[in-house]
Amino acid sequence: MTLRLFQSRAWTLAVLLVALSASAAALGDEITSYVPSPDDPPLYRQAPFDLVTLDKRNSGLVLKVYPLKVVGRDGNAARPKTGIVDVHLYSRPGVNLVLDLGQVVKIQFYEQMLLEQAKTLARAGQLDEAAQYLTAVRKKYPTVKSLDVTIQVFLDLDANDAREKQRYDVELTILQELHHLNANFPGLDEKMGTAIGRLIEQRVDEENYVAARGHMRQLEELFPGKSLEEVALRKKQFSDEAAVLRREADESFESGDFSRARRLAGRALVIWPDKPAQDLIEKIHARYPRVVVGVTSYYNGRQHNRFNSTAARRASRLMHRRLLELRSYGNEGGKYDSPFGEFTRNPEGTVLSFKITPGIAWADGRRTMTGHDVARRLLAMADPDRAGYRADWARLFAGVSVSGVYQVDVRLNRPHVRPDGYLDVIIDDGVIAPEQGGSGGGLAPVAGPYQPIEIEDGETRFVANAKFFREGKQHVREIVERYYRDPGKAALALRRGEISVLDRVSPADLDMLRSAGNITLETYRAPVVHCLVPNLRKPFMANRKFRRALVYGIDRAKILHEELYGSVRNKRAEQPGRVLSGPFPIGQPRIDSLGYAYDDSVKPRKYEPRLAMILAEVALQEVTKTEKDVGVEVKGIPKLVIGYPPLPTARAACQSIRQQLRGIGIDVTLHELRPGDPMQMVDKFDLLYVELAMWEPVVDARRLLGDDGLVGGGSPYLSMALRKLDKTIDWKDTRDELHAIHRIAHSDVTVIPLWQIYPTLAYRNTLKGVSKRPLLLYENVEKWQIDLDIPKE
Amino acid sequence: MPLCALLGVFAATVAQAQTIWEITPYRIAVFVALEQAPPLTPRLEQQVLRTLRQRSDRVIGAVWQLNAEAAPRKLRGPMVDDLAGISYGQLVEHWPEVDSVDKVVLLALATTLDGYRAAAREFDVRTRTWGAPIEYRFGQAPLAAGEAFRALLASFRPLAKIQSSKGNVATVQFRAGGLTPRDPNLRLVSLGDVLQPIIRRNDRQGNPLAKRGIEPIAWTYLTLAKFVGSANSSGNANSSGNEAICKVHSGRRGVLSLRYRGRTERLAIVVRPGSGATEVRLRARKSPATPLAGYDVHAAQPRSLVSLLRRHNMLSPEQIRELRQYAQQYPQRVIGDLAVAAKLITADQLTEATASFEEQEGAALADHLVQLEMASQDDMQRFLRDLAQGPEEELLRLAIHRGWLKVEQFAKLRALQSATELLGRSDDDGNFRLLPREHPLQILYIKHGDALVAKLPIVPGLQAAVVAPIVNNDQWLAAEALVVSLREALEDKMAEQKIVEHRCRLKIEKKQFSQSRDDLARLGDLLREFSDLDDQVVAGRKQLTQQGQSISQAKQRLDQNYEAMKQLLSKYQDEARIELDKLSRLQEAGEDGSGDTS
Repeated sequence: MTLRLFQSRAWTLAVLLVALSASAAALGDEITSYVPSPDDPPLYRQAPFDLVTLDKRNSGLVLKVYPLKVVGRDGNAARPKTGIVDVHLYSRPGVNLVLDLGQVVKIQFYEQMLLEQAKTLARAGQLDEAAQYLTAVRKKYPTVKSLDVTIQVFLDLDANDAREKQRYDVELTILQELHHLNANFPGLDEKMGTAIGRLIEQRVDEENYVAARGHMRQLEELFPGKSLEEVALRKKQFSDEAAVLRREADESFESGDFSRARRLAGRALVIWPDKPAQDLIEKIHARYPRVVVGVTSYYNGRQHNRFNSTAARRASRLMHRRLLELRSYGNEGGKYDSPFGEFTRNPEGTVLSFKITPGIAWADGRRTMTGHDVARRLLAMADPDRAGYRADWARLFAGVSVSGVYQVDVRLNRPHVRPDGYLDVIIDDGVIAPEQGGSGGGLAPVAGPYQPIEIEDGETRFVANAKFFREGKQHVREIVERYYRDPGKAALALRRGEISVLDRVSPADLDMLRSAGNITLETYRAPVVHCLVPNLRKPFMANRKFRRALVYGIDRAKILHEELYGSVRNKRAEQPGRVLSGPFPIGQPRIDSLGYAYDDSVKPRKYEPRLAMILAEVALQEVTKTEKDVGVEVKGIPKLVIGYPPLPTARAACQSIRQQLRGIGIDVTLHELRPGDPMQMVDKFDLLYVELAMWEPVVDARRLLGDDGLVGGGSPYLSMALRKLDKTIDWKDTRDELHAIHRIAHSDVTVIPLWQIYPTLAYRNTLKGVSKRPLLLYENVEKWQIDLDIPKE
Repeated sequence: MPLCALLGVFAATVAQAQTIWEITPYRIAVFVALEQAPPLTPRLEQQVLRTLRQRSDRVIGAVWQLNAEAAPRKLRGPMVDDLAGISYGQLVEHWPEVDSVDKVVLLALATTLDGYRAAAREFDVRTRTWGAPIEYRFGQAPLAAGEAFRALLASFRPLAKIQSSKGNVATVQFRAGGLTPRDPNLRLVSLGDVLQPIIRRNDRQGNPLAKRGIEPIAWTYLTLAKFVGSANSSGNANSSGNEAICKVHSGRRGVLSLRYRGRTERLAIVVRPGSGATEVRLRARKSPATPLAGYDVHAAQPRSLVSLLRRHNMLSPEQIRELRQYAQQYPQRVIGDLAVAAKLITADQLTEATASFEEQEGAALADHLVQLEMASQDDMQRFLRDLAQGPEEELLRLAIHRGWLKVEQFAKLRALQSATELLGRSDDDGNFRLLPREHPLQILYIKHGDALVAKLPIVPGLQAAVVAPIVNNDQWLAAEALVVSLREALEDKMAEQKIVEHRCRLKIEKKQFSQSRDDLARLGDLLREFSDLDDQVVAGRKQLTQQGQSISQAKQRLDQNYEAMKQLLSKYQDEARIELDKLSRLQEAGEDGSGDTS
């Protein structure tokens, strides 16, 4: 109802008073003075309002009104003290009233209340809350008087707070922002100087000389022309340290210990990158080229399963060559060749023949490889009592014969579409590598291009194997893998030249590296399949409905496209990945045939949180009943434990998964494996996040889904389908069976499929010889060549 | 017919006429062979023989007539080297008098790397079966005699005759059951012992027939549930056992209920398995060479209800003892109490009936109650039949009657008793390695998908391998997989449809018409998906009808699933279509009108 009792502004006070009173009377006794409630949300979260304090004639009422349309709201002009203005009470929004400004003692405008509250909070030390208020004012009311000053005062207080907490980097950042607002803020220069000084000290303690020198330069820029004792002392200190290291490096170089010389010289360069250090590095590099590879998955000799370990997959290529190696994809799965000689198949696909090249030496130089070594390995794979046994190979394998020492013929029981997929095995000299189930140490003799010689403190060093059988020496004499837990730091290190290669670039850093100009990015040829493997020994994980609930309860598309790849601008160029409906990769249709096992007609389940909750509830009832039958009481859905590798994508994905599952009432704890821990299911995990190299599905299906596979055995339907797959002899039947397996795995939710991603590697242009779209980082490592690349400050 | 006749498996009388079977001791010939090694001297051999005779007399007493002597020369070597490999033929060849005894025990003593071993293996003459070798190891030669006797005792397998059987319960009477061992603490049989039933068909001379003369009943075992009988018998504590009630575990129906006439004996021998595993080989019944891979093996252990009671602390040991003693001393009163508990009669009626009942041989309180017209004959027969089928439940029912146990606890125990555990799956050769567990008998349930294809009672360790011919339902598994996936897809879509409908309706009520468009679109998609599912169900069903024999149980079950899905889909699609139309009209009206508050 509109109580519009007057039409113009010429009414007298009395009339207005009467009107107001009348309106008050008309509204009954409902106009009460505004009193803030302790339950009110913070002021900046409330809808804007002004507070109008009336004079004594009006009993000093404080009215909460919608923001008034008057001049002077922002304080930059005086507000009118007389006149009338339209006003709407919060308590009666539909009622239009008119206010005589002459009756008003005080108006507190919303934006000024925000500012005042910010000041109050800042003075009380509640800086985070104060920041919220200031942000609100800055965003919505940027012209408010004294906003700038208030912000400056706030920044000063904030910087003090950071200093007290010894977070000097934060303090410096805040002071720099304050400097940007007001370079003449009292005492600012001194505070900045002190902060920088403390940071230099901190960086030196951390041995981060690059950053320390950066801060020294900052000081010099801050106080140009001034003689700074601290800076001078530090310069001398660094120079002296570097000189000592250079001397030791020279000595090592003269004695032939190039690896040590390189390390010492590198350290000298980091501490004090003067001309002598650079010259020394150049000298050493000419004799002993070294490549430092940044990795986000740490190889420490304990990971052996290439199928689900990124580190093992990568490092294995450095240390070993395999009987057959996957090179690319043709129309029918992978294309393989052998680095040890010639490989052929007969037209029926029942005989595989190898002609081993004579003179392939083992790393210890005692023997050379023969056909008998190959035969022994293949026989071991078919023997259930030997390490490295594979049941599916055993069923296929009929026998092996060696003629003339180097000719090996392998007979199969029946044709197989891709038997070469079984033969990506290491041929050893009797010490079976741990990767193949043996117990040999992590540093077993190898026949590959590089040998691991040291694993320490997040760095693994490999040196060129002098006995490597391939013609020509490896140009790069040493490869150092340096582990970075934070992919952003790894990207920065690449950009600065501290490393030459980064094996996996995080999506958040793609744009930054692409814009660098001297860095090349390559997408790997094959994708990695990400999924959650359930621990089927646990009652809830063994329940099909519960597993389906998890699939419906995780918004996989959102995690993949927004949270993992959200920051990438040119998504199409990066091929970020696709959500999967099963355990096999889709590949890139029309580009590779990797997706031969993927049944396109099976669509990924959509994100349906309510359906997830219903299914989880039904599953709870089912599990409660079955557990009761064996005398176990179930009190609700237990907290799930998800184990995941210490990889950036896994970490980010699992955090999102946890959040989403909590949203549907399923509590989750995350357990990050330690760098270097083997990736395997343990009792305490309900789910294990894995990244799989599912690169030959017809062979890899059992590695994941078989009774001896990662899943540990699925439903009887799946088991039967795998047995049928073992019996197929042509591509049509093979594809049909793989599609059937895909459908069953989708229906059973044998694993919770997430997505496939084509990872990206990046390297500086000083490194030559990296394959275009490699399958593995070190695919062509024997041909790598590196120009000296001294990091620029 | 007196009701007590029905109690062939729930004996009511106290004293029964003793038969020759139960008072005839076992005639046991023990042959001892020592390895020819320095500590094992002829003198030690004599000592062992002496000890065996003496201890047999002192400990076993009248139950055994034991004769121990050195083994025939040509048997000694095989006994020491390969006791488990000695055959009946070898035994007869070197000792033709085998049939003059009831048992032959071959006992070998030999050295090991760090001491000695005493191994005994028993041969039962009547059933022509060998027991598994029982071996004990010890460190010093002087202990040989004692360990030899231990091995002898452990290898001994009491023999029983199956008197009667009904349903899953059988009554057995043990050989020499009427005789009491000298040692009052000795248990030759105990509750929970497993017996293997064996059929022996004799000719006129009492010799087993040449063809199928002696035949174990396949896939069948008995477990000793309860002792009944004479005043001499005091249950499992102090006797060789007399008459006992056993639970029958069989993979086949009614095997013991078959009529066996004249010269056919139904025997049961206690099994003493070794500690090894048994390889279970699953083969297709109609094609024995076909291995059945990927079949799930679940197992239940036939634990006694009393042992479960103890394990879960539902009754104290004192309470169990008291109930047992009461049941032993007053079997007629037990029937009365249970009849009251079953509300067949009242407590007052029981008091009145027991006052006039004279406990004497052959008298049954059950008959008396019927005579007093306190319960009808039919009711009483039914009651007794139920009791007879669960001989070990008597104590539990008594406990419930006394208020010591709740009905829910009883139900829980039954569930625990029949609880199964998934042990694994048959490998690609159709084999599964079954390891011994807590109870010597395991009941295997072989499942393939949802179908239970076989029930196989097995005693692991009794044989190195067994071949189990079972139904091959591989052809149905793929069909079952499809049915399951369709059914789950249908469940999910139905649930999703309800959720989206509800969401859409709410939005329309809040006049958020434009926001409800996506939900309407999804509902339309769901209708199409239901239709696709319908097509898949039809196609799947058609494929099923073309598959295999039309009368197969598996096929019928799957077809019923399809039928149920079809009906559900039909009903659901109609309802969904109607609801979608309604919501669409509301949405359009809302958008055409005004007031969209989206």
